[in-house]
Amino acid sequence: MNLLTTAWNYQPPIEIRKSVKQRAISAMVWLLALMLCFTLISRATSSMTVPIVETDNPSRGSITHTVTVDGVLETARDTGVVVAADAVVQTVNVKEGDTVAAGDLLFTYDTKDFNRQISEYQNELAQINTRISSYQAQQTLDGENREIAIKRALEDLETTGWAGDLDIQIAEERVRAAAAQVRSARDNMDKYDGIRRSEYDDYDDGEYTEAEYNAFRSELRQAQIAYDEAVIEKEKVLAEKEKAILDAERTIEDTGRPDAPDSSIDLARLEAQSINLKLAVLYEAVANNGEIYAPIDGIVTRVEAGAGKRTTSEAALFINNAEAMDFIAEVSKEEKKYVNAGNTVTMRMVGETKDIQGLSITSVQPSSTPNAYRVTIEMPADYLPGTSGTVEIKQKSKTYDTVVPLSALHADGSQYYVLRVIETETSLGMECFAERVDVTLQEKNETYAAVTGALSNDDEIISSAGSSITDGDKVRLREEE
Amino acid sequence: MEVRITRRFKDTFHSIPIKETLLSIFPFILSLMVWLPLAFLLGGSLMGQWEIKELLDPALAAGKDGYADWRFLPLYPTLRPYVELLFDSPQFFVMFWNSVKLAVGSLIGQMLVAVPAAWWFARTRAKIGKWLFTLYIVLMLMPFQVTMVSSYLVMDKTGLMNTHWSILLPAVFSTFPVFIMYRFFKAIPQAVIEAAQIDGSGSLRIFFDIGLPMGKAGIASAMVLGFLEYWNLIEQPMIFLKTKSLWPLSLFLPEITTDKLGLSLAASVITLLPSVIVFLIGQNYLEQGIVGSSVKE
Repeated sequence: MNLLTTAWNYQPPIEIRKSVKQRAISAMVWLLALMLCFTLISRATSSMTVPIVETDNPSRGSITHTVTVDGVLETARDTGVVVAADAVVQTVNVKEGDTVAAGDLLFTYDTKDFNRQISEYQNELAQINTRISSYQAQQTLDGENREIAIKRALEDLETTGWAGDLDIQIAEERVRAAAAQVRSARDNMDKYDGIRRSEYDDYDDGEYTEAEYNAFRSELRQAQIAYDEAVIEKEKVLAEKEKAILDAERTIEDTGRPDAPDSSIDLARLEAQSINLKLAVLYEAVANNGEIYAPIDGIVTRVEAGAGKRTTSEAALFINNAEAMDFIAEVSKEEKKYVNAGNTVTMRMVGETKDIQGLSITSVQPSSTPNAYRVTIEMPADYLPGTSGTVEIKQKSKTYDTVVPLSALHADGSQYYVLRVIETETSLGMECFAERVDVTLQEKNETYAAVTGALSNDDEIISSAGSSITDGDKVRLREEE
Repeated sequence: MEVRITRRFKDTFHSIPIKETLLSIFPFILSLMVWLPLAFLLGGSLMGQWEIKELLDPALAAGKDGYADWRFLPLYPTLRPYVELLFDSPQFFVMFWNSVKLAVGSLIGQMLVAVPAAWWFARTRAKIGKWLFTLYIVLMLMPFQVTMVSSYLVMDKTGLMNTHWSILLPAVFSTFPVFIMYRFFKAIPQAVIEAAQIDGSGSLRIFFDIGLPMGKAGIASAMVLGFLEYWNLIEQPMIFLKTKSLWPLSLFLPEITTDKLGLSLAASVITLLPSVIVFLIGQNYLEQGIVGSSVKE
């Protein structure tokens, strides 16, 4: 208790109080020095822990899909030489295995036969032309007839309406007359009834007899029957008029309806076209004195025509193009989406260091391998058949408004998003933070992705970062070098 | 020897009157009430995040209507909040140095402006001096809230908005330190001044050689009170400073979210330290200053 009390009443001497002040001053100095140290340390820590990111602006552009496949060169397909059919071959100048150049003489026809064929075809052509003009004349006539029929039907309709109106008027007149008769008969009856009631007692006075009364009654009955008949007659006339108008209208409709399309003219024209083609071949053959020349350079692979034999409509001779080869490659069903006939490709053959540019895909067809497609690229025969190579096929997509690097695209389940850098004012000044922006993926390749979302082309999108970043993280932009 | 000690103890024991003991219990309890929040603060700053959350959750969590719990000593003491604050919160230090700049800048300005002003008021015999001093007191009595709107307009028109000058300039020309120092300067006997004048001292020499040394206590207490005020300034920066990087420490705590309560308690302790040290430095002067400011003319 004594100690407590002493402590309670303790009053430090002035010297000690002074030393408290001095100690406090040095404590203040220490505190400020420490705070300065920690300021530096915390800044260093912060700069170490904040991930440094690289950004990119979304841009407008297209996505290029590149398919790279290996393939092998094959000899090109045979080209058939088609000649006029049913002609006698005089001489065959080439045999299988011969190398020919474009313009070399292949074989010769007997042109005598050709002249006969030409005149036959010309006859046929003339017949067809006559047929066509007669068809055309018939068509014109049909058209005129139809116009007349329509005109008449319209007239009929008018007449029917007018005549019907007249009939109706007559019927109405009859109804009116019958009604008047009924009224007069009823008046007579009423008059008779009135007299009979007032002068009942003088019934036998002889002014109206029983016979007269009966006569009035039968008159009224007859008038009534006549009225009913007139009404029925009128209804009949009305119905008749309606039917007549309907009939007339139907006639107009039927007449105006176009005839079933007539293909006779078109068929005849096609026939004429085919004969013209045959004639062209024949004219050419005659002009060349029946000589047939090679259309391309190449090797004769097959000869169907023989001296003295008649030609058929099939090719008479086959030449394999020596200047062109086919590069055959197979692509998967997935890759097929980006491989289309006409795409330009870049090719590099095995052992070569230079790319072959300017080639394009000739065809893409289903392959014998399931789920695969056979790509054919025609190319100059600078290499031996069997040489393998690699082809790079590029296909550009349509232009998208927002294309971002693929590394900027992140997925959260099925939801895609990108992280945008936003500047926010904090107590440390302007600082950058990552902000998540949900996007919809349109199309992507190995490096870029086309997306739609709330992005503008001025936004800074985080394309790469040292560590994983989530929405709201503080980030630092890599200084431009 | 033993006997003597016993006797002394007995003497001492008997010398304490019971009435006095009972009377001293009452202020002891009152002072405990004042000290309790500080004890809570120190204990809380050593708690882990989950422990604070567990204690405060009934009151803080949305939709709950309970009361926060508290304990003096943390169950699992940790220095984590301090480590986080000192090593990983650069924004805290930005604000700390802003506070230092504002407080120290204000005090230096006051030294240059308020000390000569107080000296003149204390020594002048002109009537206008009394008038002006009355005006000063009226201004001093006006709380900040009253002049807030007009201050805002002035700051806006002069282009000082959102700069530290908007805090510093009004503080430099504050009337309160003039009022405190006036008392001390006024207490210097006129005879001393006259003696100096007879000895041929000029006005400046009298001010520097007599006024300043003799009014040292007043100047120091005004400075200590001023530091405590400007260190804890909250309304002026809130209204005049928009850019967060200019904010002083007093606005750091409202910025902290509930998931960083530990950090806020640690920050409170660190914020408290300069005030405590400045108080210890100027304790003697401060007591005199408070006495001086409470004595009416």
